[in-house]
Amino acid sequence: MIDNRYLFESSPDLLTFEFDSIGPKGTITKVVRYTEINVHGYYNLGFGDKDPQSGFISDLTVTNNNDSQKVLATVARTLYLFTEHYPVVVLATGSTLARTRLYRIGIANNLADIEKDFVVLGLTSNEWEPFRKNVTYHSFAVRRKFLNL
Amino acid sequence: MKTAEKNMPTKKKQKKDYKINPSLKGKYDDQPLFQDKVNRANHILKTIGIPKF
Repeated sequence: MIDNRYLFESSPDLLTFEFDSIGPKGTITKVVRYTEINVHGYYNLGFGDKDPQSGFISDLTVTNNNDSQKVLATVARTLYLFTEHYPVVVLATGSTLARTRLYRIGIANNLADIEKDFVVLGLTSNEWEPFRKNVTYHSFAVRRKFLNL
Repeated sequence: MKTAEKNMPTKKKQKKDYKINPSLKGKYDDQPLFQDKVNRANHILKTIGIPKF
């Protein structure tokens, strides 16, 4: 998954990213955005599809472009790039339960690689804990290793 | 000297998989992107607390 990803573009501040998903449904522009939340040093990871007509971005669109692994790998690559420049914690939550599950599977399938560079926590119903495979989480928090906050 | 240079391991340059596009800065300022998720993240930190690494 880590090696199979799309080329992408970044804003100069590395907060906004765009890439094209290419598949049976055509070319769909994806947007990734890192937004600082109310606590300093904590960012939300959001990503979704750009509507070709309106230009509006939605994280609820179901694309079915048969490339979800490649899309996730590309989003993961933006996370590497973003955290190389911003020593912060990133929170990620799927817009639906199914998508949160997809994130969990994506993390679990690449955990060994991810944990070389990141510490990953999962949110159970009432607390954060170190990410474990086959556990249902509501959200994820990641930070680079060797980072003093 | 030239032989020594030839024998030195060459640093493999990683292929850049992205490019900077200045037009992306501020491109979506007219729409608060993923505001629901931002609100949810704020809610999580407020109710559960910040993650302890």
